[in-house]
Amino acid sequence: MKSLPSATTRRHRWFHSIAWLLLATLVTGCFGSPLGGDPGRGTDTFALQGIVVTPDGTPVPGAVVRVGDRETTSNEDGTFAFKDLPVQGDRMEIVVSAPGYEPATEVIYPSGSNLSVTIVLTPIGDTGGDGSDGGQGGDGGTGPGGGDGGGSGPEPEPEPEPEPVYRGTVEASVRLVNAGNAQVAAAAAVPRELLSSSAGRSVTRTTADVVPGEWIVQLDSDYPVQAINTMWADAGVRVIERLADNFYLVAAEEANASLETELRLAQLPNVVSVEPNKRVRPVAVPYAPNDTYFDRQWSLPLVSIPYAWNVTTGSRDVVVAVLDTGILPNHPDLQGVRIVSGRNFASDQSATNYTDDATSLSHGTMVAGIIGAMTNNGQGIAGINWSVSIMPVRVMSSRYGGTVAAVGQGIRWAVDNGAHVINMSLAWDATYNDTFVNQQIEYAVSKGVVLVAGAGNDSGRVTMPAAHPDVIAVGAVDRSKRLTWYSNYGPQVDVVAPGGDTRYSQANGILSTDIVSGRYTYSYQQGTSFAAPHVTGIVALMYSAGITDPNEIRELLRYTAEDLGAPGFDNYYGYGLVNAYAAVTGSDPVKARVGVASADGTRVWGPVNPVRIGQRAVARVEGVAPGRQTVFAWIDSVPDGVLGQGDFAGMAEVQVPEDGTVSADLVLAIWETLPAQDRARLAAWANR
Amino acid sequence: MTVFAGLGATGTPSTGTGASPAAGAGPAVAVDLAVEPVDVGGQAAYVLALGVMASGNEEAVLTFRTGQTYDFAAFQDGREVWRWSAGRAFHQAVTERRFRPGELVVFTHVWDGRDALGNPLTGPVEIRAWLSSDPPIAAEPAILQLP
Repeated sequence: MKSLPSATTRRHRWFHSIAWLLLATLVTGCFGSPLGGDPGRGTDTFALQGIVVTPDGTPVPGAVVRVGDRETTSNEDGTFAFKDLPVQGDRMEIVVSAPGYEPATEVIYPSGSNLSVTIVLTPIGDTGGDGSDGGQGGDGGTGPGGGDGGGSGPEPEPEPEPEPVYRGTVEASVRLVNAGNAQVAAAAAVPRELLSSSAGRSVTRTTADVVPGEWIVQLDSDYPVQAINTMWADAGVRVIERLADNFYLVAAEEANASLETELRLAQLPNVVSVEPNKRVRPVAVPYAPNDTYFDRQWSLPLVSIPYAWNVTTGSRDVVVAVLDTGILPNHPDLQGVRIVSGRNFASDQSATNYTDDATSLSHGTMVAGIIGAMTNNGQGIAGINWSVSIMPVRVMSSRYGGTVAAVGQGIRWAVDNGAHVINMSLAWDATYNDTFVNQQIEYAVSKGVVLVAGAGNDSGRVTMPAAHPDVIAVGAVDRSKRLTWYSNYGPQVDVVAPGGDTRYSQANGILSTDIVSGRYTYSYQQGTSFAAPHVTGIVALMYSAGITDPNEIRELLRYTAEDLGAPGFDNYYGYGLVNAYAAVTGSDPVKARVGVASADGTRVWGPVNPVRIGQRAVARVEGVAPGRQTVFAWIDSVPDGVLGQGDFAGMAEVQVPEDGTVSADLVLAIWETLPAQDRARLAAWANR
Repeated sequence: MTVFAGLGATGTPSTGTGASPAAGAGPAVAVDLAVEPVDVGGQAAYVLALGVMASGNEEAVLTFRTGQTYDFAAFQDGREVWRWSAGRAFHQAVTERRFRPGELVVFTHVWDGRDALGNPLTGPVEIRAWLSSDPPIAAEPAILQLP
């Protein structure tokens, strides 16, 4: 079935609305009186449905429609409906308002079981007429008198009042937060492409909602649209446009198209097939793979990784070098992971033997598992990357550690053999200055390789190699996003990630692939060793999503991080807790659109974009009226030009002074995690 | 070389308090340092041995912040001139290690008697050794007279 892009769908709804409006006007003109049955008969309740449109017929979503003490909001196609409205007298009013439009009041005379109305809202500042022009219609048109709905000739437009000059300014500092440990959706139908081992690609999850009253119809040949409409003159449907070849977009001529309409359409001459038109929108769903212990991996939702899987699940084309104690390639949860040829630089094993010799706690296997254990294979844990290539580079023994020289050799070898990202969950004292390893780090940077290292566990200053300015230094937080008791800190810390804390409960550690007493299993551990691979795994996801410039990667990790500790950068949390979904979607806060909405929603100032001031993204909206206003912002993370699923958004109340600046801390969260009421208001302001 | 020659041994091994996440909990370990000269291919060298044993009747559990378990260092005139862990990298996982009562665990290193720059040392050198646990547990230093 062919699906239309949303813009086209909107345009077709415009046509549909115009057709309905003209029909309604015609009906009202014929009858010239309130419809809805004998005024004298009446019932205690009635149903009301309608549509809110602009003068040119464009639907107005999010409009607040009030009848008596009942209130609803118009849908995305402008329609609304009430059931069982109590009849309150012979005459009732419908009051409709929407941000950016003049409020409109429509009078109805309820007496029948069903009424239909069309409400026309005029944009503020539009001199093309009042909100009630042609504002009645449909098959139950209401309103006083008849004719074309206006009842009087055009009047001279009043002179618009000069806009007052406001001197209030709202200065908003925009930042992001992680999705948190939200309930994740069941992975009953994980798309097969997620399990593909093919080359790098991004996957956009979509949802398809049926557009009522629209179908994509295939005819037995391609005919002129006019000819088809002539042929189907009494069918209750009309062709809106020819899509391609012999496919046409067809819409019902009545507002409430039923299954009967669809069946009738299918039986029309020359029709080969009929399918409902659908609106395809990207979504952000927190995926839950079917790995046995995924529900124990609290660290993944903490940094929004299940949301990031909407964008990408990684790629085998991305090579991650794990400089560590070696790995256990036969671990069950590493079967199926692409393990490229590795190397050993520790002196206790041969150069080709990169297998970890540990019989308990295989450090390298745990690190590799966090980055890319088999995901959605019905066992074990979920690796951050469902597809990735792991390059095991053994630089230390589990028992004796390794030498800095071996680490340098490992870096060089990894770079020269195709690694894109290097993880180093190891450390040596920062006072030990080794020219050789420093040169290898700089060599890696010159080749565009991203290096990630744990900050160290001494509760003191950051150790090497994390302390090197070209290495992304990762501190550790616990399940409550607090800096762990062991994590090093200092000005070199870039970001923090989950490292776990097993002092009081093993379950608060980081779970990964391991060996215990010679048996392959899984264990909980704690340390910056396990924080670093979270960031490495996210970097690998970013790579597979097409973000490959090391500087851009580092900046995105920093600026999309969830600010913890003191506002802005601090020595304990760096730029904050990494946010995988924000990183892979490139949702830098400076890309936000920031505006200020009046209390009644009728006025919106902005939007403006923030600028980077230090580490902050700051936006200034000037010329705002004094009083209680709402500053809001959103980032089009799913780049479709519309605020909705998968985007970041947020709002905050501010008291704007008469002449001065008010500051606001604007926190943006993933759309799906916002309260429904906030979503409605934000959409109304942002999508006007 | 004598390291923890048993209850009848002369000398008093250093004792330390076993580290434990909960303050005041857990039995102690005893640590002792022994240094023994050896000849390695005609060159003088020194075996440094750090012995560890649970000092009570119960298992001692120590926490280690990294993959490093022990360290040795040489001091001359109060200044550190050599350390075993210098130039070594360790994994950054916090681990626990258990020491059973009556079980002697010995960590050793053969030192060549040279400083960090590779220069041979002469005269008296103080050798220190400790478990790199949290907190560290140090043995009594040993004085080594280098020719």
